Amino acid sequence: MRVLVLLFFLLLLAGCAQKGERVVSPDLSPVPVPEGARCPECGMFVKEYENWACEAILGSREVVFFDDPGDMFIYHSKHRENILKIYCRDYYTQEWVSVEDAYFVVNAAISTPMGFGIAVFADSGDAENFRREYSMGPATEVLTFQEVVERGVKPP
Amino acid sequence: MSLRKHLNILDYAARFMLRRKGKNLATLLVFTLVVFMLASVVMMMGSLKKEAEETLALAPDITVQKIVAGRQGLVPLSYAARIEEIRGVSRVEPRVWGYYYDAVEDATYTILGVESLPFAVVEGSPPGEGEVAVGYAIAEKKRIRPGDRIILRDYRGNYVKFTVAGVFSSSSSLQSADIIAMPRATAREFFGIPPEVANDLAVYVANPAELTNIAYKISLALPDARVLTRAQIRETYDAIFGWRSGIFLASIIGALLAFAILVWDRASGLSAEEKREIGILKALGWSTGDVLEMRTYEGVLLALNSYLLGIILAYLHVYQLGAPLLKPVLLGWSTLYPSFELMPALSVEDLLLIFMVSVVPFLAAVVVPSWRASTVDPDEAMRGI
Repeated sequence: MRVLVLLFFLLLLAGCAQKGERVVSPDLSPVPVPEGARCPECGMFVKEYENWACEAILGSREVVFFDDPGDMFIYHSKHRENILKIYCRDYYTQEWVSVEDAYFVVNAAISTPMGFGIAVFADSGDAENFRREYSMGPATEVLTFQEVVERGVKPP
Repeated sequence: MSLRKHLNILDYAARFMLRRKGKNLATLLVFTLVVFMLASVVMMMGSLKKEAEETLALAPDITVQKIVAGRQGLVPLSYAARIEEIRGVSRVEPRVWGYYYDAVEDATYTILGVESLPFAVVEGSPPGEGEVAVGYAIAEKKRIRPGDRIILRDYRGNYVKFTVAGVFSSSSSLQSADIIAMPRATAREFFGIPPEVANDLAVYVANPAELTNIAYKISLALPDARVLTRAQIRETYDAIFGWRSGIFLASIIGALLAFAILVWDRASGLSAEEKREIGILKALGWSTGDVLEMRTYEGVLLALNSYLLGIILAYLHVYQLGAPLLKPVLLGWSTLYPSFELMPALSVEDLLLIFMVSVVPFLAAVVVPSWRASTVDPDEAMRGI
C-alpha cells in the first residue's frame, strides 16, 4: 500500500515537472525542442514535427515553440512587442536560422503539419531552387520575413 | 454467506470434472496444444520483428548501391561527391563491409569497416589499425577476450592475425552474434577492396520530409545506382515476415481444425448423461443460475489452465529452447547467421489475441448448451426425453 502511495506521488511529480517545464534562453541563442513542448497556437506536440519547428524567445527570455511556421506568424501578429528573437529550421539543413536572415516560400502545395504551406530557408538560392523544383510557378515568390508579415498568413 | 454458496458450487464443479477425468484431460491436452502453437508463432514473429526493427534503426536514411549488369557492384567514391552536392544531404558515408565464412564454426560473420564503432564497447577499447572488435555473442561462443588473437583468412588466402581490442554489445542479439568490426582501411586490405571504391554509400538526410525527393534525385543523377530508402527496406522486411507468418499459420492449421471440431462437438449438445445430471441438480433445488454458474466454473477452470500452460510452454519453447519446432521454417536465418537467441518480445495485445481466439469461443461453447439444458423441466431431463 505504501509503495502504491509513493508511486502515485512520484507520478504526480513527474506530471507536474513535464507540464510546468519552461525553457529559457538567456543569451537569445536557439535551443533544441524539448520533449512535451506544445505549440501555443494549435496545441500540437512540437517534437513530433521537429523538422518544421520554429521558436520565439520572449521578453522574459522564455522560449515558445511552434510546430508549423504559420503558427509562428500568427503568434507574432498577436504578441509582436513581446518577442525578442525568432528562429526557424532551414528546410534542407535543419539548422536554426534567425527569421531576419531567412527566406520563405509560401504555397499551399507544401505539406506542413498545420497546412499553412510555408517552407523556410537560410539561403535565397536554396529557396529559389526549392520553388523551381516543386514547379510552383512564378506566382509563388521567395519572400522575406517582413514581406510575409505584411501580406499576412491565412489559417488553412 | 453467499460467498460460501459460490465456493460450494466451485467445489462441485471441480468434483464434476474429476468424475470425467478422461474427457476433460483430452480437452485440456488439445486446448493446451492449440494455445501453445498459436503462442509460439506469435512470440516468434514478435521477436523477429523486434530484431528487424533494431537492425533497421541502424540503417542509414538512404542506401546507394551500384548495379552492374543487374548485379551489385562496387560504388566509385566519385558517386559520393555527386550525391553530396544535392541540397538537403547532410552526410554521405562510403561503407566497406562483407561476409566472412568461418569454416571452423560453420557460421557466416559480417565484417564491418568502421571509422567509429556504432556499438557500445563493454570490454576493452574500440579497434585501432590491425585490430578488431567482436560482438558479445561471438566472443562468448569463441571464448575470446580483449587481448586475444583471432585468425581470419583474407582474400588472397593468407591467414591474418588480428588482436581483439574490444567486445561490444548491441540490443539486437543478431548483430552481436554476427558482426566483427575493424577500421575501414584494415577491412579494405582484408577484402582487397581498392581505395577508390566502396561496397555501398550510406546517405543521411537532415529533413525526413525531403527524403523521397532526394532518393529520386539520386536515381536521376546516377542511372546505374540502386537507391534504397529505409521505408523500402522496412517494406521488404514486412513482406518477408508476412510470408513467413503465413507459412507458420498454415503449418498449424491442423491443430486449429481439431480445436474447432472439439468446440463444435461441445456446442452441438450435451451427452444424455450430462443432461440427466443437470435434471437431478434442478430437482434437488438448483436454480438455472446455479447450474450455469457451475458450468461456467468448469469451463473457466479448464480454459484458464490450458491457456496458462500453453503460454508457459510456448515461452519456454521459443525463448529457452530457441523454437526447435519452428526452426525448419526459419532455415533462411539459421544458415545465414550463427545461432542466436531470440529476444523476448511479448506484448499484452498478443496475449489478449490468443485469449480471444481460444478461451472466449471455448467458454461460449461450454456455457450455451448448458443454458439450453438447464432451462428444461427436471422431470423431462431425468426421463431422458
